[in-house]
Amino acid sequence: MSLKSRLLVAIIGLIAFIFCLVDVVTYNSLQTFLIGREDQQLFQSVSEMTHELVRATQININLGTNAAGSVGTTSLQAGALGQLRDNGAIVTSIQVSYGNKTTAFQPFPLVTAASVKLATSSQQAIYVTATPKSSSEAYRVLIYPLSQTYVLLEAFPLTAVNDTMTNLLHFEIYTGVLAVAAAILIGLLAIKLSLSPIDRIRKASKAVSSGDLSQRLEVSNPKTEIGELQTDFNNMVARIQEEFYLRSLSEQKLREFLSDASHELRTPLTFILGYADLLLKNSYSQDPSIEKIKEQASRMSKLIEELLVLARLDEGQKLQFEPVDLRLLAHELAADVLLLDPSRNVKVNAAEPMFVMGDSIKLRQVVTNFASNIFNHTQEGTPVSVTVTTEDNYGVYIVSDYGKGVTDLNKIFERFYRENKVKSDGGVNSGSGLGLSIVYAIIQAHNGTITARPTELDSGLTFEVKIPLADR
Amino acid sequence: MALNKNSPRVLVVDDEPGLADLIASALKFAGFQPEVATNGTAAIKKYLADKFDIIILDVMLPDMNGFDLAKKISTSAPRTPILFLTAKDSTEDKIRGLTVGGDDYVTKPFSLEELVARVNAILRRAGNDAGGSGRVEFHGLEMDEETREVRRDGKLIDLTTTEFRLLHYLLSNAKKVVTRAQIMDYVWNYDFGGDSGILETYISYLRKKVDFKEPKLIHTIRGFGYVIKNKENP
Repeated sequence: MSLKSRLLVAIIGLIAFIFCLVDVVTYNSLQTFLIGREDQQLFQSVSEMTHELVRATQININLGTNAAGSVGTTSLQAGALGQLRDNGAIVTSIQVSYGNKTTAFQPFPLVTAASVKLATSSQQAIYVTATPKSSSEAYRVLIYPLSQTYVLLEAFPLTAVNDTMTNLLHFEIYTGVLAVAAAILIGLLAIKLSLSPIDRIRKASKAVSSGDLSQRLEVSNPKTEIGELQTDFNNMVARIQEEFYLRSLSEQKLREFLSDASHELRTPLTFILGYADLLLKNSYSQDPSIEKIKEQASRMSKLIEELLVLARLDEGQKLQFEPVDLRLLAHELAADVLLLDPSRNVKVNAAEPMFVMGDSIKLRQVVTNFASNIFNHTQEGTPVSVTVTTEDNYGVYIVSDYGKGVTDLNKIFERFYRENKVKSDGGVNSGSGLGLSIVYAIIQAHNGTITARPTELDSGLTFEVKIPLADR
Repeated sequence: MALNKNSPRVLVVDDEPGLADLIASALKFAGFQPEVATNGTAAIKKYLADKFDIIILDVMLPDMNGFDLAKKISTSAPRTPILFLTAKDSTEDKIRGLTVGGDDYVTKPFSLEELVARVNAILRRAGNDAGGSGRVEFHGLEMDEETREVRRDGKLIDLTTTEFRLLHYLLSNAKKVVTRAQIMDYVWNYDFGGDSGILETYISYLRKKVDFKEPKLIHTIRGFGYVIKNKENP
């Protein structure tokens, strides 16, 4: 459940609870008050009613002090004098009713014998509310013990009281529903308003995580909790931005330095290579160490060229993207491998054109590096296969050799890593250790991936390159 | 090695005196008559005073840009071919656009052997010499099997390995029609699943690179194969 709905439910629940509580209390107290008033009237008419009934019936009852009510006009609807027999039955001596004769009312069937008995035995007036079977109207009935055997009953309809209570109930329901509706509306609005800064913080955080470090929040009120959060957020992003800037600045400097250094090393290298050449051509000096100088100088020259390529790629060199057919790159790999070693068995599985978005010159560099890697690290005649296929939205280029494989797959893309400094045939591995690093950097610049694995269980080396397909 | 008056004269222009001397020594050793200039002004002075067969020109000079110097020189006739020296950089593309006729470029660091070979190649082209081993030439389309360089009317064409093999086969059979099967046998002499028009694709790439100007040299013989020929001047 979201914070919004939880808050809303809480507000509505609270409002409904308060309303219900107030309603119940109001309803009960009003009812108690109104019925109390009726009871008082009933009690005040006891004396008058008794006299009237006694006069009418000629029954001699010792009234004692029980009938000491004031005598006045009465709004009673009915009264009755009853005699309680020993067997519990009530004998009605006389009943009188006032008002409309058609609704003549018989109080006695209303009350139970038990209530009557209780009243006579305790000599206490008892008030009950009862509804006769013939009508739906409720009555308030007073059971008044006149002696041990005689009781006076008075009844008064509760129509007015019940009407008032029904009206109150309706009023309470209407106001309750209205209040809850208002609470929902106002609550939604208030929640939305008070949570909108959080929404903005969320959006800004999202933008920051996707790389936009220029995001800042408007601080609404720095003294509120939200305000503090906004200020802290701004400070945090500013700090991160500064760190990133400083880091990229130093990285930039380092890359520029690497690029410049490689560049500056070329001229002295040209000298070394040149003079070694001249000395070798000079028939007077056939010193084999000159051959070594030339060999190592050539190697260093190659190394510097590759370092420069890497430095440029690291600097974020812009690539010239165009649709490039991976199928043709598979054929180029076959041609390159056979050019270096015609004795190899090469297999190409690339039946259909497969266009990816790429820089054709850079991707050809990848192919060349794969070919020289195969040439340098597998024995003469080792078979090679290259497969082009597709997976999701990527063109997949798989190069496999069936040589001995490598011992540490995790390191082969590391710069300057060389598996064997001495080749299997005894010659010096003249690789720079940068070829596959360049491949890795080029594939990364293409938003692609490259992975290495053994071709077979524990032998051979397979590279799998994935590059996004071109929209065609 | 004895020099004679007919040895080709080379003007070496480089602001690094050591490098200019080194190049001069190597050229002298290879039988050329080199002269050295270490800035643009001195180069122009020497160029105007004497006649040279070729100029080796560093792109970065202290007093002027190598390209500007090249433009100044090329106004005089007949034009002297230029071999540019460049650090492998963005300038490489610029030179590619600039080099015409017998011009060429070499990137630093270069080996002196390569430099001398290039100078020889330029002079050979300038003298319209078709000879040399491992070289095939047909109506301005040249192929050097050793350096794996292809040029048309002196302009360097960058070919992939497969394109080079394909063009090599067509060129060594110039004026002869070769069938699809023959080409597939020679160029695609390895196992690959299905044909799917790979030859046609490569021919179209090759046309874009080689036949960038008239007359077109690569021709399709429908239903049979391909041939390299010059229809206008057989």
